[in-house]
Amino acid sequence: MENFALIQKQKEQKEALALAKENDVTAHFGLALSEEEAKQLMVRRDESLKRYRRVEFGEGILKKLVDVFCDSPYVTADGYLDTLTELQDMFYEYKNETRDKVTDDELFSFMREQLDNVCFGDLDYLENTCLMRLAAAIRTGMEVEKIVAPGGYKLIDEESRWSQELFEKALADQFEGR
Amino acid sequence: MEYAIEELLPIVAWLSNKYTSKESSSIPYETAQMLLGAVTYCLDEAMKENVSSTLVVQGENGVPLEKLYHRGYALVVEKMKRAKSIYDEICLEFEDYGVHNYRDTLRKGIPAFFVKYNPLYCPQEHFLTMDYPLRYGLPKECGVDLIYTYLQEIRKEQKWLSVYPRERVIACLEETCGEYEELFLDNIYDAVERMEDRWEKEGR
Repeated sequence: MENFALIQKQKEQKEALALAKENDVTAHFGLALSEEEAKQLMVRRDESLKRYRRVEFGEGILKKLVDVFCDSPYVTADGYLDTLTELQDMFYEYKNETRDKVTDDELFSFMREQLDNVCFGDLDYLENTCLMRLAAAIRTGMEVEKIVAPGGYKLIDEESRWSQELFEKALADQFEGR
Repeated sequence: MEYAIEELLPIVAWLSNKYTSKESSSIPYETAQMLLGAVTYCLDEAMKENVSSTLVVQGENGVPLEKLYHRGYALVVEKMKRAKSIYDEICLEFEDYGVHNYRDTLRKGIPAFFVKYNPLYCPQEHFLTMDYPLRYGLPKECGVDLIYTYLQEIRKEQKWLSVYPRERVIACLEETCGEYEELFLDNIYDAVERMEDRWEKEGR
């Protein structure tokens, strides 16, 4: 499988350029990767691919990774590279754990939605709870499309979360002096 | 035939795109290995066809590997169709002489191959253990090549065996192995020929 490492080598330059271009987009959110950081991100990507025994063809996920997460309120300039590194590592891990039944786009949108709405930026919770539940549900035969659809996490969620409806009722009750 | 990996990778990447319907940019090692095997299998198939025409694969005036791959794939599909028609031909007058191993291999195994066989992503796989042995053992081939050769041999064997009356073949098998239906695991024609030789010497 050493052979496949060639693919990564061949596309390094293209990817570095693409990441540099992405800075124009992410600058609106106060985020940017220096040339050195972009290289580090690619090195870590190669390590992740090796760790999870995967081969990547074509454009790869880095550009998409930046695109998907740059406007998340929980991705900040402070530790931007570390966040991206962790997210890409999770991505490859859970491509395996979901047995490749989830497409790149589905996994990214699931991760993004949970990071913002369930984990509130907690990457550990995203990895060890949300994604773990997704993988387990897929292994038990649940329909992938339903879980990864917007709001689909509630199908596999085990905690009762904040209920807007209940909150509004309680608020109304209080105003009415009950 | 050895190919330079740099030349194979674009074809593997193309195949990977097809395999994932462009919905996944990465695949597991095992899948990549399978696709690489598929590419080299098709290339070998095309090379076999072109050995006599001393085709130049690489170099400026050579046939691009990609073109060769597509030709190889077409040959694999073609061979699969030919194997299927040989199998259909065998089935028309198939006689298993009551040997379970023979019947299972031909009646259950081979149809399963045609159902499972995937010439695009995994042409090198034949899925079967081919429990019924050929007279001279299994050829060192894989994928549809093996099945094709196997079926050709089975067809020949059926023709040879049809020379003998059914009862005669069964008598040979019974003499070779008491409960031959269940326990006979060798080649039928081989057993019949040996028994015939013996009986001839014994004047039977």
